[in-house]
Amino acid sequence: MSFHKKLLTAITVIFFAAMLFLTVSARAIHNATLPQVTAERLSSVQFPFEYTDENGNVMTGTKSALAIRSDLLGSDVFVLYQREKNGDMRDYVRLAVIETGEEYNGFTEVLSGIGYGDKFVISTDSILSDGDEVLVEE
Amino acid sequence: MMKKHLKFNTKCKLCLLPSLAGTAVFFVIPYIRVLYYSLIDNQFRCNFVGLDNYIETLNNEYFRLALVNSMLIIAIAVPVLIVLALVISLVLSFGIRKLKKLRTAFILPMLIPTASVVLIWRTLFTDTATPLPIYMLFIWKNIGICIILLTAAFTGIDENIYEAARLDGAGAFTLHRKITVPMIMPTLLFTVLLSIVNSFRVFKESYLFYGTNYPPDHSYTLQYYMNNNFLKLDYQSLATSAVLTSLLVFLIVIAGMALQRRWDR
Amino acid sequence: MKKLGIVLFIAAALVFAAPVVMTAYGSFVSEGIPTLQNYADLLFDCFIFYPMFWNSVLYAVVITAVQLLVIVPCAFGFSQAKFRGKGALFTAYIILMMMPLQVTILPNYIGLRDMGLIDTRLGIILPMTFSPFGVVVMHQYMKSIDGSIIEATRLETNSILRIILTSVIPQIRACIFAVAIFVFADCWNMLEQPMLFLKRTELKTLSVFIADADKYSGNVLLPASVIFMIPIFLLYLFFNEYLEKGLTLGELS
Repeated sequence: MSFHKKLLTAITVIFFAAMLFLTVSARAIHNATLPQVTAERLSSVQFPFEYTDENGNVMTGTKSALAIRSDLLGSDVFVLYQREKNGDMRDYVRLAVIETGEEYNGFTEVLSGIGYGDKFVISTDSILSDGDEVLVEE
Repeated sequence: MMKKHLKFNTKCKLCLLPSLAGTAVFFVIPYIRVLYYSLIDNQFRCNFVGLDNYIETLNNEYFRLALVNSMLIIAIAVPVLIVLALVISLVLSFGIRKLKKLRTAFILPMLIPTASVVLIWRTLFTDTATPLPIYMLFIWKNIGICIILLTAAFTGIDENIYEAARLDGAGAFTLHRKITVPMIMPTLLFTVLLSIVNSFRVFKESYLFYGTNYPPDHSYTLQYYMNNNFLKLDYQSLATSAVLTSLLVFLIVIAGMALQRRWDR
Repeated sequence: MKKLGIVLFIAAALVFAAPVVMTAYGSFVSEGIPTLQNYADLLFDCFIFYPMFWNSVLYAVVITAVQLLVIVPCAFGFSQAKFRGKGALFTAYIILMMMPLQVTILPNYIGLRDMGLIDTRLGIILPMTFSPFGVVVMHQYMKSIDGSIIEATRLETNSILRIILTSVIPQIRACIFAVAIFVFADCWNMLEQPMLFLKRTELKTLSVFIADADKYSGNVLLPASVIFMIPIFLLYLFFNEYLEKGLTLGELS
């Protein structure tokens, strides 16, 4: 084979090898650039509250309310959501503005900002901003 | 010996089988069904309505617009293409002998996927008031093969004939008229026919350029009409226009072949 | 005259190359600055690109290969077999070859629908495999082969396969490559069939990806266009000389 034929063959092989490599690993490479987070679903916690009954006695009962671990409120809270991009579903975060209520037993009542069942970020390996794409660890 | 010959002939006929079978299954038989569709009124009721669909289609203003535009391309773009190709081929073949190797480079626009160059074309030709961008795309794509065919024909003429004619005292004009033109004719006819056929294929370019199913009026060709009917699932109109278009192409091809045969005397 | 010829040639070459060069240049530029961002957006953020790329490769390779297997015996049969109506049959092939795509697409679609091949890979491969273009062109090439070699081989063997392999193919090798390139380019460029016969995006081809490029975020159209051009360009460079021989040998008149 003449020189330029050899060169052409080499280029062709390199091209297809590169495409093959990318096909297999592009997603993994992309995911490596994403912040890795763990998440939890928002659920209800029992809160005590006081009320006066018919006889005028002060009683303590419990109510169920959405609550989040108080220590998480120290930094920004991010809620996870999914959106389609370029043909597949990706995970994104949005900055939540939370209105809080009482505190009890390490949990703070959430009045607004996150809904029941919403996933929110518990831990992350890098700083997040509103609208970032993330990789959620199971 | 006779038996062997017969067997060979039969075997040769068998060679045709795969191609014939495939063509029949995927083209011929469905085409007959299309013909059938064009003669009924509705997929479900299947009433035979004869030529009603054809009359309706021929009266449809969109169809007429499409037909006119398609014919305009043949009437304008193809001659321009041929003339351009002729001029370039003439200069090339009478001027340069050594650049013959690079001739095949002209085929590249035909091979390059249209989708790849469409964006650039859109930025180059921003004026969509005329069908010029589409004509230019068509010429760009097809001039390559025209040049290759025509230069091959030009260089195929024997130099000695020219010498002999010059010795007889023929001027440049007569030279070309009596020698070049007749010898080019078969290839020229074929090139023209090929370009006409390719002018129908320009739909892909046009569709990618405008990016919509409803381009400006001047570019709305038969293929758009058929494509839109396809998307609307209007099988009757689609079948009718397909049959009509195939008749048109059929006539053009037959005319071309007849011309060729007459030229061969 | 010669000077004019050279100038004209260079001018023509520039005009031809311009769109391609501009596309390549544009893919490396984003808002006026040279950058690889477009390629990053495409290769690392748009994963549907890869199946579509390999689909294009698969369809083109398979269709070209099978077409050659169908065409060569068929053209051989046309040139050697004698039977009534051979001329008419061949003319029918020519007429079918000239038909614009839109006319043949409806019959194809109906045929495929009835065979349940819509939205399958086979539905794309099969109709293109039996495209009459190859038969017509190959038959023209077959006319130019030396009949005596075939006669000689026939004395030695009765197997058609042997005859074709040993006496026919070596003579028209260049033409086979030329036809293969055109068929490959045709398939690579295929747009209407994947759009109309396929529903699932992961079966569609790169040409569809480029046509639908504004569905995807980022400037992915130009990088995709460049990558789309590379295989066909490589193929052309590879078989350049065969093209030269093939195109000029087969003069349809």
